[in-house]
Amino acid sequence: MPKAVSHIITRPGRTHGDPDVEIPVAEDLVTEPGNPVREEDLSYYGREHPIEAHFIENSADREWLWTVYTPEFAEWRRRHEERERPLAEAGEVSGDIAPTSEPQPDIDVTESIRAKARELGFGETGFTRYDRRYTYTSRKRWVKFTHAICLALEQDYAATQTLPSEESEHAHFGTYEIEEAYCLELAKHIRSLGYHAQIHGHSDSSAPYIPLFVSAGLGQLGANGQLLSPHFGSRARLMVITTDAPVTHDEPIDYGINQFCENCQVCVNRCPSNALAKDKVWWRGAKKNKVSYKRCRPIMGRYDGCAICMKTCPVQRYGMKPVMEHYVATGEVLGKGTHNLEGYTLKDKGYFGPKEKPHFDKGFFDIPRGKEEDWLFEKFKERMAKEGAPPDGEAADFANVVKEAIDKSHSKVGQVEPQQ
Amino acid sequence: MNAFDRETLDALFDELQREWHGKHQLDRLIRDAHLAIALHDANRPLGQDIDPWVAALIHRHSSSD
Repeated sequence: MPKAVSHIITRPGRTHGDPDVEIPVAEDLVTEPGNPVREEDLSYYGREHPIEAHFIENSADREWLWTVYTPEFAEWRRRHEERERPLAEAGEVSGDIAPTSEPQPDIDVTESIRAKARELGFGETGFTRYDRRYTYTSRKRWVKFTHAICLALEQDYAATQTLPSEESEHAHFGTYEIEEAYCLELAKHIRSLGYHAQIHGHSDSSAPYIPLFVSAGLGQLGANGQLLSPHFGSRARLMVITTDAPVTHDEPIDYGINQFCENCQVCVNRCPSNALAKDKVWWRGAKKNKVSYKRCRPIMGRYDGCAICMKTCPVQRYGMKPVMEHYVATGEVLGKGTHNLEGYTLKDKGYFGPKEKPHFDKGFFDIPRGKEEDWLFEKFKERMAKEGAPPDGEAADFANVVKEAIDKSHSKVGQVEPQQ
Repeated sequence: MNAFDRETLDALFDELQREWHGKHQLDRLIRDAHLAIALHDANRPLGQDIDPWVAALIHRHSSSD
């Protein structure tokens, strides 16, 4: 049944030089710009219970990942980390580098930075306040500047549609390598305008970035826990640059995604491990479909990053404009129920068409949890309960292993951020 | 009109790859093909934005449903 249109959103085209696109939003999809937030809850949790970076909180399963990679993929990841390390290290100290010209405080440099970002290849660029309430505990003293430039780089389209696969993982990690290099270039440009620029990378992220992107009008949070942006859906890799440059903040937009995801539910229904929740809950001041990390991570690790929630999102596959146009014309979700959108193959389980899902034994989800050092203690305690106190010297060896785990958990390169 | 099944989709994308592999148009044509398949499956017209080569590909493979 055709729907009445509430409003039409005009956004820049997918790549530099493309004409603008117009996205119609149906009346019955309208909720609010951005995502629902309770400001007082967000402030309370940010102050009293700040979150910590995934790579610190979940260092145990980070180590486990390497044990389930194929030898070929492990080697690829090692090479990726070698390529990425100098880029990440340059980003880490980027905020300390002095500007290369005198600032002109009366000139708003927003459009100069946006144009440069588009020229470099970023598909989406937006400006907002860097909201410190989201900052990870370990990064609170690192963040220097108040304005956030949100930068999304598209991941290869064709490779993404092969999810889950090593090809799509190469696209995933490879996009970050390119993006980090682009950010270094953009930071140089900002310094040439007379201002500082601090690069917030993906492996050393300072916060969950999606709320910043939503505030900057670059999309809305989807039921799969990912940013659904106009051209890429969730097929974009996100980084942030903070700056002291005088910029004009963008505003959040209602693309209709809050309600569309409630109607669609393809990602929720297709998730192989039932890690996605049908209903939204309030979580630390944000209303969202909360991803079950303990169900997501085991399959993500064992099946090439999984991301079937990304693969089966119609906004990712077709783009927001055709999806919203189809909804206005028919009241239906484009691609829903079809093999093309919903079908996927798991390497040792075969093909699953619409309404078909794999089964996993309970033991499949039993992987190391939490911090590596805590996990080691748990295993040590279990062993002592069975075998009694360890022989002389073994306790000292254990302490060394724990120390090594603590040191490693603060090494930032080589992280795989989960869905948020 | 039937929605594309898995075998037909494999054949369709195999043909697209055979014809355009290594050429700069490949990315755009794959995007167009996914959208065209979805519109076909929803019994909607493909519209003017779909590349004619892709439209013909969809027509050929849908005829063999």
